[in-house]
Amino acid sequence: MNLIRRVLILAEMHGRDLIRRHAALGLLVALPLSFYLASASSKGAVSSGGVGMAFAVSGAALFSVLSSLQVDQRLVLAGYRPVELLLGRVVFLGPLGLLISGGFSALMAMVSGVARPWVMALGVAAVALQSVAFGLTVGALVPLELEGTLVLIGVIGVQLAVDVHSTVSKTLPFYGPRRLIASSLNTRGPIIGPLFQTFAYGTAMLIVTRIFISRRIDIARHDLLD
Amino acid sequence: MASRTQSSTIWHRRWETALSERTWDWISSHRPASTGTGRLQPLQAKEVEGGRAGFDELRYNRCVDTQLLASKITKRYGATTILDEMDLVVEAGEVVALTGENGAGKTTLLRICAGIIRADAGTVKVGGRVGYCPQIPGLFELLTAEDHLVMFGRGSGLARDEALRRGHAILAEFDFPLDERAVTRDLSGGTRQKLNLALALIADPSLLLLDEPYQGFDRGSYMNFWDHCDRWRQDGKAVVIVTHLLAELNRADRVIELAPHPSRVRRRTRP
Repeated sequence: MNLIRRVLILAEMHGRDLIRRHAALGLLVALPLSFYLASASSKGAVSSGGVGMAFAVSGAALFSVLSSLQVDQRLVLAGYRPVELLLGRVVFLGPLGLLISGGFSALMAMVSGVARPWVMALGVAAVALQSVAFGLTVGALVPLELEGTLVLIGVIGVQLAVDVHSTVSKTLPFYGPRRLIASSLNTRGPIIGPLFQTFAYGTAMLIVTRIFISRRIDIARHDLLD
Repeated sequence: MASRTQSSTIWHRRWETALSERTWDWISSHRPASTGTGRLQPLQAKEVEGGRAGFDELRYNRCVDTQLLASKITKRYGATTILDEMDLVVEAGEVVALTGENGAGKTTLLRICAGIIRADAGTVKVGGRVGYCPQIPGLFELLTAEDHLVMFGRGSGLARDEALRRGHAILAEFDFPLDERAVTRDLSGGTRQKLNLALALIADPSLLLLDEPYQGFDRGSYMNFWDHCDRWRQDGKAVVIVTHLLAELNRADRVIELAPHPSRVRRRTRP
């Protein structure tokens, strides 16, 4: 119970912090929208929208880590555990990503007329959730603003550039969500497999994040004097 | 008392005499096992051996309420030695000021005592909860003071209302503009620092580690800070302050001047 309260407080504070960043909030919506609208008449519009969403949400996740590097260690000193800091971000960013993906999916279903709208909604939601895990992982592995941003742009860019069934594509985090989106464009196509891939990759990324965040912000708990 | 080395400038408020040989023997026999088995020496003796100016008259008396016991702390960054077998003992109701030139290792020692960084060697033991105030306020730019109080208070196990009640009381003592609803980004440097200090105090720690906690304070706030040190002393807290300012230092019980490790000095003066 105490763990939940602490995680919720952290999630609430991340929410307050982001809500006061009006421009960032606007860009979170505008970025995937611009990607989608720029290619709305083409066949790959839905995929482009998904890539825009990946950039926006993973960028928000990355900066939630990088902008609070100094505070995090102090919060641990104040009594939080590193895993609680991680969960606080996931609890806030996850639902935020789902909210954006929900609205975005509705728009794309109306405009693009995909064969299976609910699979597309599932795919876009998977992109949003995977982006949270991916952004947090990049922030934990590369805790420098420029370097972290370049890694983020590079991975998502390569994911977009390569063929969905190529070997390179299969090693990247958005392979599962991309397959889901591809499945939504046809009346047939795998759903369970891509969902499992997304879940497995996302879980693995969160575990890596947990390990690296702990290494960086954990503190030495001194023994008590007799 | 061993002779003072190099430029150490020490005030003692309460203990004017060095500990006798017999006392040191007693202390050595009563130290915790984890701090080693060798005879504990007054630091001056070690300073002479190591050729390092630094702590004066390490006091380790288990009869009083020790809140911080840092023993043989060593820290290196690559080939550079920052701290070499440093000792620091602070008792409850004692205010200790750490001074010294840049690079002497004051902040490093304080961060090791707080647990923020790990020493390469040595042990730290504390008497209870630790409150740490970093030199640069680690705050969320777009959260208000109250948001911070709630968040840090919850980490210490305080409910929202209790965290706000305590936090408001501490901030009021520091003349923080409580009616200010601004986010921390819009606060002045001194006001941010007051919040920074309040976050270190909110859990009512028994050991306070303050790294230049008055950055940005005006003269009145600075004097007020030392008044608070007096109050913390009366409350039985142990306080360690890293400071560059010499004004009001006579209000500390001990002032310990750290000098850079000789290896750093040699490197700096090498032609």
